[in-house]
Amino acid sequence: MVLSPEEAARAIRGGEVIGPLEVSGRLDLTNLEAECLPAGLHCYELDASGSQLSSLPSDIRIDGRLVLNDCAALRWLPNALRAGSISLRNCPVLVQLPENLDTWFLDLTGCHQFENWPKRGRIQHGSLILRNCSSLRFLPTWLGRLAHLDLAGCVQLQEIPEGITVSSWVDIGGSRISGLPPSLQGTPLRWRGVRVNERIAFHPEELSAKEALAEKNAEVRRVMIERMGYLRFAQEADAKVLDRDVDGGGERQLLSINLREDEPLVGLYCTCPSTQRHYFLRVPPTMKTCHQAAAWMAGYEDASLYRPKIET
Amino acid sequence: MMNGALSRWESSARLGLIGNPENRRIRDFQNAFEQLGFQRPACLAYEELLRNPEALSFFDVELLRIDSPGENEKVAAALIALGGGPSQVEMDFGEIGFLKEYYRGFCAVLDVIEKSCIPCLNAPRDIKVMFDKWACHQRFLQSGIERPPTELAPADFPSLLERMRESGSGRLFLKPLHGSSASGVCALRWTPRHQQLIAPLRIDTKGGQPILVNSLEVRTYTTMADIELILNLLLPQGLISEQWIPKLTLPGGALDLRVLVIAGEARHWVVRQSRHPMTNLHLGNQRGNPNALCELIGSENLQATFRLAERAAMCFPASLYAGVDVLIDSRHWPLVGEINAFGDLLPRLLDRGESAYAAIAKACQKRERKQNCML
Amino acid sequence: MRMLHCTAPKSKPEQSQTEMKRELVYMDAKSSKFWSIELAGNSHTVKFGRIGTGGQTATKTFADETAARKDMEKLIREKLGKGYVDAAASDSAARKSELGAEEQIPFIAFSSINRREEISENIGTFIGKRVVDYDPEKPAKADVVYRFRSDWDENEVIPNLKHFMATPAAADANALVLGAWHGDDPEMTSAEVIEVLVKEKDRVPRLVAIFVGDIVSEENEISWIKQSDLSPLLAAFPKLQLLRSRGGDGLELKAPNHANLRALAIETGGLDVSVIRSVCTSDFPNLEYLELWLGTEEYGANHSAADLQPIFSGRLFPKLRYLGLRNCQRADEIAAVAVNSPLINRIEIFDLSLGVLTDEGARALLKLPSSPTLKKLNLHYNYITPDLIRELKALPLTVDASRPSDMDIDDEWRFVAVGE
Repeated sequence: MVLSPEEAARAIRGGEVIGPLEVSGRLDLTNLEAECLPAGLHCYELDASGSQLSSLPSDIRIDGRLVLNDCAALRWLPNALRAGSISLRNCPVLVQLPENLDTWFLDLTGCHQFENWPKRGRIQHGSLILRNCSSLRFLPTWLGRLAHLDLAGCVQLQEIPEGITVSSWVDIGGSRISGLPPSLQGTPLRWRGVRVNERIAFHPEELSAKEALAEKNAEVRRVMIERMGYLRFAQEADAKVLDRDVDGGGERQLLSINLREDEPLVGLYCTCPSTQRHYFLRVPPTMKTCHQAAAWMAGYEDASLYRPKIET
Repeated sequence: MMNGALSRWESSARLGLIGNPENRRIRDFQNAFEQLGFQRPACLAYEELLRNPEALSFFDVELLRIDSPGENEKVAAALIALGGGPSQVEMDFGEIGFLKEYYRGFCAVLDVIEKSCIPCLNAPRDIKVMFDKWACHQRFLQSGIERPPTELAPADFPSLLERMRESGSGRLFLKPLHGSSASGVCALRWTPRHQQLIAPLRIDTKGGQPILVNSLEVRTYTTMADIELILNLLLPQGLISEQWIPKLTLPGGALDLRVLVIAGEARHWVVRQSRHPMTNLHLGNQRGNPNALCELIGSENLQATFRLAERAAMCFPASLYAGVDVLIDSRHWPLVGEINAFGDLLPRLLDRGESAYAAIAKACQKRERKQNCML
Repeated sequence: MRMLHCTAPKSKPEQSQTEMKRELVYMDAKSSKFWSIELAGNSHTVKFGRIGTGGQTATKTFADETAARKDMEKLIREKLGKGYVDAAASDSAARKSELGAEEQIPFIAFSSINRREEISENIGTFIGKRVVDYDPEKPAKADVVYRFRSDWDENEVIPNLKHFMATPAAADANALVLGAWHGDDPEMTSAEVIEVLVKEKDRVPRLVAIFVGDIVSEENEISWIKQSDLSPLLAAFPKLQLLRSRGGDGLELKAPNHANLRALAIETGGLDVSVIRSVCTSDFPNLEYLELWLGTEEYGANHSAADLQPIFSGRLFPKLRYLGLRNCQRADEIAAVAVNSPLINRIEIFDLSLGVLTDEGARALLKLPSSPTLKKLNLHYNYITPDLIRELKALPLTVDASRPSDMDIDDEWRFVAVGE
């Protein structure tokens, strides 16, 4: 039975589907309350974002886009699932992908529990976005050449397997990747969306505060400071001391460092009384005193209300 | 360039200029006249005339050419003060402001020139009207000159906005009553969902307040906030609102014509082309190909265009020459855009083998002879 | 880091050591010209002019044959650099289609706007013929293409179109251009005019090419043009070979099917994803030329590279020779996907011009696989720095990376060529 997208959506939402359905165009099933779809569904594009679907029927056929963002119950996708592009953003209980998955564009942004790749599959030509997949510990070796590979926020990912190639960029911001395999040598890098070079990405210990301050691009500069660490940056930079006082750990200073064409970087430089480690904790540039900064960090807008016995 | 066909003055009439002597146009005019074999015209500076209105009685000339007072900050400030504006106005370079006061001040200077009774190539009373677009439009209408439909623009933005909403969609040119060379001219068009203001100006700040500054780059503003800000600053200075009729387009862009009419005859002319609504040549535009235009609209329509320019100039019978801007719509019919009392004299352009300066000089002579004969 | 998939660069297609004669043609929105050169001993003879005329001839003699050949090759390189192509490859010879005695439109006549400046002018030629505004008071001629438009304060587009349809010239007309239809009503869409054209379809039995929307910026901004569903044109004209349109607001292709359509071109300042979907679910088995202006988000582009996947997969248009994804804000992203796609190995020309293509996209393009069919890369109007342009020009295909002279690529702000 061939239906228009509107008719098909109405039928499915109403639970009135009998027999295989062919839908021309984009089937809109966003926020669908049903837990499953009818069998024999064939459409160009399916968008069931925000729905209660926990799986898809094994005989589903999608020619173009499959969009299942924000599906709180989605756990299981059928083997040999194939579509031009698949978007599964923020599916909190999705842990694995099916065998022989076949797609060009795959977006798993925010799938915090995802960690299991199929043994075989085809993801190639387009973009593989795995932003903030915090459970992900490795990438499969069978990935074809991609356009973009986004691994920002994959905090457990330590390496990219040899053999993977990319025609544009790889984003490794916030991951634990410390170098690129030979097949990716020379590929442009990004750090959470900001274009960076290999030095900034993999050798932050070589960066100096002087270099960071000289960087014209504010975004790149922010990444450089983050990579070298605020503490080292504050120690090396020519900081202005706005205020000094003493707390349980010893002397603390409110420091301000001027940045080009940006608000100054202000932070509290202090020592932890138990570990003797130094910290440089960033605070808003409106802070004028150490006390005020500490109050702000503790959550007090009005510093006069902040009277701690011990500051940790 | 010595033109052997011209002889020296038969009478003793000495030509003098009133203008800003540092201005290139004054020097070009003086050089051209000298090269044609005439006495180099002296120039009385506006600055001096404003300081001392009696200066004219010491200006030893028998004929006057009044040039533009523009492009001089001191003169502008003096005119504004004379016209009732602040006595020591401080404007940023290129800032658009105090247009009404400037005009009033300039009219006062024209009055002084008229009172001196020295004959002028272009009469002060004509220049006053040419420098007031609304008065000019009415004069044109009285003589049946074809013009785009024109009204006085409302004096504030909310009134204009209401008109815009009422009509649903439209397209207008908003032009300062007393401006020149595209300064402050805005092309505005809108539909229920979009709006667009195109103008050679940019928004700056001075003392924490927004101001408008002339720009050589024509910009397009598409947000209501920007458009409101710009028109809030311009509308109170007095604008006319002229129907924006789509101009004829050739390869190279939309076009119009600048025709120099001398002694009632259309002479030197250029095609000005632009890819945006402002065709003034100093805005990165170019001269178009006159042959291509003639081929497109035909010589009959081209002649009709020249006749229209002549009729427009004849609305100012006390003026020897004027630069008339004529636009041609897509039906190939001409309409008068503007008339310029000063009008750049189209350098590097010959008509009948002579430059614009030579043509004017000849016309001066003829006029002299006619007047002498009548005595 | 270059060209992971490229083998040793091939010699550029146009260098041949033994040719004595070369025939080239050039077609765009303004002109259709031929240019040929023939070597005879120590002289060469150049013939050039408007296609359809005898043109002019000029012979030049040199000291010897080597000098003559060198000069000939230099002239050929110049012409190829300007966009001329081989006459033989361009199908400029007439071929009959299955439907009857209808001439095939030459492949190179499908493209229209090459340079950014041309958007502010009406087209001067369409499918190689001169375009002229229709004037009901003049006799309708057979060898021109008429444009029907309304002036700003009138509504004569439909009366003019009906008037033309009643003349004998309509029976021979093989192309039509619909210009500004909105006259004094900016809310008017193309639907009314299309309806008239469809109703009178029997009066134009030889129509093979239509341009809906030859509207210049002085008349209306591209994103303000109100379009409609173009499918009725597809249904009414089974012999249609080329359909070009301008304006994305309200544009639809509800029934994107046509057995004979060879070229589809959609110019917008922002293309809605529904149109891309229509193209991706279309049935155009004979499509050789597909040109889509993707535009910017600000003016309605709500699609991503993933929406183009079906086109890039190559499964849709088996005869496709030209793919243009032009005026695109996300040109870099598109370039990165294109170089990986199966389609790039099958087409002859890939056009990413008029968009915001930067060094990022240029680096991706350097990874183009060596394809025996891909001959030309059009990157006119780009933001690529000189070093990378040099590297691109070293690729074994013709690369047009020219820019308008007033373009400042160091400017912080990057715009598509045709916004608004």
